[in-house]
Amino acid sequence: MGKLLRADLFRAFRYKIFYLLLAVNAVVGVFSVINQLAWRGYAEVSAFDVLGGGFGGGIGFIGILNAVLVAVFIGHEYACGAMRNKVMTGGGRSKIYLSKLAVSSAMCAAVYLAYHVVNFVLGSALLGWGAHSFSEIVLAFFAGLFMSLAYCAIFTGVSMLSKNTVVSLLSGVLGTLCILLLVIWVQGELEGTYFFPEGSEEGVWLPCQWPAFWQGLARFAIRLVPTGQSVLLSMGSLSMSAMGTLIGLSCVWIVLSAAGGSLVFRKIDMK
Amino acid sequence: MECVLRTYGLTKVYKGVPVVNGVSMHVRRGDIYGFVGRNGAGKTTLMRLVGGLVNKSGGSYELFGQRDDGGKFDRARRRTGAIIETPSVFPEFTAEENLRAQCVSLGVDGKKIVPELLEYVGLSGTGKKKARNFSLGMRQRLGIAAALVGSPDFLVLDEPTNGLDPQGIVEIRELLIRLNREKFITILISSHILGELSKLATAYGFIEKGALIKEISAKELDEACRRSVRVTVSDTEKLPYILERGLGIADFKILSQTEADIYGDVKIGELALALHAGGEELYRVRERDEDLEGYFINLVGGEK
Repeated sequence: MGKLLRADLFRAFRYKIFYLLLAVNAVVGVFSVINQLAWRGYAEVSAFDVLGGGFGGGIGFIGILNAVLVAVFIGHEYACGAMRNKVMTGGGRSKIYLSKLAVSSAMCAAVYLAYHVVNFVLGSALLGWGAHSFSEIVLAFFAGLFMSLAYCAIFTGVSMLSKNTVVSLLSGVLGTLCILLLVIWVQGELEGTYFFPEGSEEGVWLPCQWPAFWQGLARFAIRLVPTGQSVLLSMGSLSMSAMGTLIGLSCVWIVLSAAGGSLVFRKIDMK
Repeated sequence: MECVLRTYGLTKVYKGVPVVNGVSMHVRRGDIYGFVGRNGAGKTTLMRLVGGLVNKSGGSYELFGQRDDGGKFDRARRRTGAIIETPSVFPEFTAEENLRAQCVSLGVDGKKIVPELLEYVGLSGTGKKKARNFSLGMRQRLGIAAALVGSPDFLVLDEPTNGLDPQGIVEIRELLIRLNREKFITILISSHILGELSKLATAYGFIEKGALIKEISAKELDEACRRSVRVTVSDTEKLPYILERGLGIADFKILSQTEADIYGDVKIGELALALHAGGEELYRVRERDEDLEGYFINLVGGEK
């Protein structure tokens, strides 16, 4: 396993897309700080608002970055035959899978950190953290980090099992965007709607009409999927316990990918 | 002799169709085993099975005496190097970086072995040239160098001369012969260029429609392909006496009551006269001068 990890790290350090995405997310971090600075005269803003933007900015951005990062990293290894070579030289399929998961996770975490390091340095200095407690900030940061790792776990599974860069890239990016739209729609339905009865100028709030069971299931599904977590975290209104729940649910994805993914990878045929 | 690879009724079924069907093959230590078969006969699938890329549907196999379902099988696999279909090369890396990546993957200290291998395969002068800019022959040689990183005892090569120009083919052939003779590496190689294969293989396996139809050593094949005359006579009982005493021919083989192969240059007129004088009727004479290609075509039944 150690040899495989070193081999994957050898490649990761020479993987240009990784550096590109690191830079992109860091630049997005800088712009987010500048953007919040521009709002300072009109509303109460702090680095915590910038922190919320780092969870995907409501568009699943971190999911898209991770999809590109993982799909190309793993897909390229299939395309040039290195994955095949590792299997044929006795690398052990489970170990190969776990090594890919570990190194991809490290890269995804680094890309996530690129944004937040900028915020922790620039945002802290220029905006401060307002009334937010240290534990709230730390928990939000870790909830986002685990969300990013959950994304990575899913994309690693998809890339390792699809064996194709284009398939994994498209399913990763489009999957993130489709689920994002679904989450936004379900979220809207759960929030309820305002309507204006005839002749009345005052709106009436109509709560969600879905059965309680479906509402509960929808809320759970939103918390479970990383894109749903991204939307919830970006809103910045989660309680500490809710953020703890999100971390736990992210861990489920990581464990599921590590155990289930490596098991399925042992069974698949490779070209 | 000890077998490096031995398969027992190895089978692979895709969507109900057996692509490899009960293959039992034996690759002996030190052999260059030429694997011959038509397109789609099952050569690559069998190599993939042996390489662990696809899961078997039935049968089993042994690598260095370790069964494929045994706990130490990955260890046996580490003694194997392989190129199946295309060499494993990162196009964005130089030749040296590619080998270093392979060294890291196999836990081998690359400082000494990388320059040695580059020299061995004739790529030491490629410097900072990326593998994407290599010719097909250079890529193939780099792939072989990568396969040699772990100092394997067994190389599995699927069509390593595919797409190469004549010079590239000769280079690869010479490299493989050197590997076999100098490093004592057993090689399992498939190729469509049977003339080329016959210049290096020491044993052959012929596969047709997923089934191994014959295994034969190069010596046996040479014997079978020797220039000869096949005669059909009334009775072969007196034939040895006529050939040895009458014509001084000692190199022949009685095949049946009426047929025999006579090797070497035979003067048909003299043969007919000698047979007639000995009271034998000569019914038919056929000249046979097969090579590996002819042998293979005969074996699989021509264009059938």
